[in-house]
Amino acid sequence: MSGPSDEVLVARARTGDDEAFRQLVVRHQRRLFQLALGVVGDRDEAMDVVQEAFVKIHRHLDGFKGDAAFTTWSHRIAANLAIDALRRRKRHEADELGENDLTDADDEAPLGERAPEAQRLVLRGELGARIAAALETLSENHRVILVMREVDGLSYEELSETLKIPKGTVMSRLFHARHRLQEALRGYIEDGEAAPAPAKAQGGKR
Amino acid sequence: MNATEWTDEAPPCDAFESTLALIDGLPIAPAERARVLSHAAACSPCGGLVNGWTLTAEALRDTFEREADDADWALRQLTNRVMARLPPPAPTLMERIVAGLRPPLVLGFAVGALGLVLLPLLRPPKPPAPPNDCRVHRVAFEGADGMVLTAGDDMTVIWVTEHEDV
Repeated sequence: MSGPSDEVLVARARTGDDEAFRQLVVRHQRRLFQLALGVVGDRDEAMDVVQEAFVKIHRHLDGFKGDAAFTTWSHRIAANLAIDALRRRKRHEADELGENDLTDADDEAPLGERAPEAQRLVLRGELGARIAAALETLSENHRVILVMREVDGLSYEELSETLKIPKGTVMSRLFHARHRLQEALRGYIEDGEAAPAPAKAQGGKR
Repeated sequence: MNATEWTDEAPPCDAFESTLALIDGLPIAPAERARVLSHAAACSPCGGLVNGWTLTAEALRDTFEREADDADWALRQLTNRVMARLPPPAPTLMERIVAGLRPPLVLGFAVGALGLVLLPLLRPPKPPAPPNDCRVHRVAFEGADGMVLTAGDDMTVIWVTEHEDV
């Protein structure tokens, strides 16, 4: 990490230095985006979550005590907003499904024969599609902890602080999340039928 | 160490914490590391966890890194959108003082300017200046004293004072 530390930037941002806050946004938005994407599974929605997270972070800068790292604090805010967004969407979809059930009462097709709902999480490439499908099978908590640990690289201590759970629960939850993801990907990664190629070699940036 | 079936409630065996530590690259004592590796070779669930998770985690990281790379442009736009939503910075004490003084100052300037415009209109007109070539001389006429004031070419004023005994 080059440039001033997060703590210095937060202190400057508190005094109204918008440029300092911009540096914080640029520094952390990628990781928060990955976290939000892992939870909500939709790129545009993840962007909205990150935007809201930073606006909220700015609004509460004075309340940031500094006893936790800015990374931990910002991840907690983004994770909560992402989970809220996911729950809102699920409620909305459930409501819509309820309405459709009423309006489609005379539909001849039995429920069991209707096409399954499309996977919400859309990641690129075959590997991305497999991982998306696998992540869809996990609970919110498992998704959050997996992405924070494996993608964002948070330590056990940071996970414990961010999620406000004991370290033992972090380990246990992480263990189950990993196990479920591995189960969901069994036959793909383990059997090597479509071994994941390094990301950089799969077409690079667009 | 007892290897059991994977369940959601319990880890497969008592080496679970050390296995996790091994996977996460946490510092563990060499003896413990050797113990876990030896266990993983014999315990199918733990062995699968150690061997399989490395690939899975790598795939997960690669996938999300690629997603973030693809979203790079949108993320830069996001920075601008966030900054545009921030409230304007609170004014400093000096700015607040100046802002507080501003209305009276503006009013004062406006009144002053208006006064400068109106003052000449309100002032009473000056009397005409007396002509410069005004001359006065005394005269005596049939027992009366008189004075003649001549101003310019077109104004002459004569005073005559009669004595009572005349």
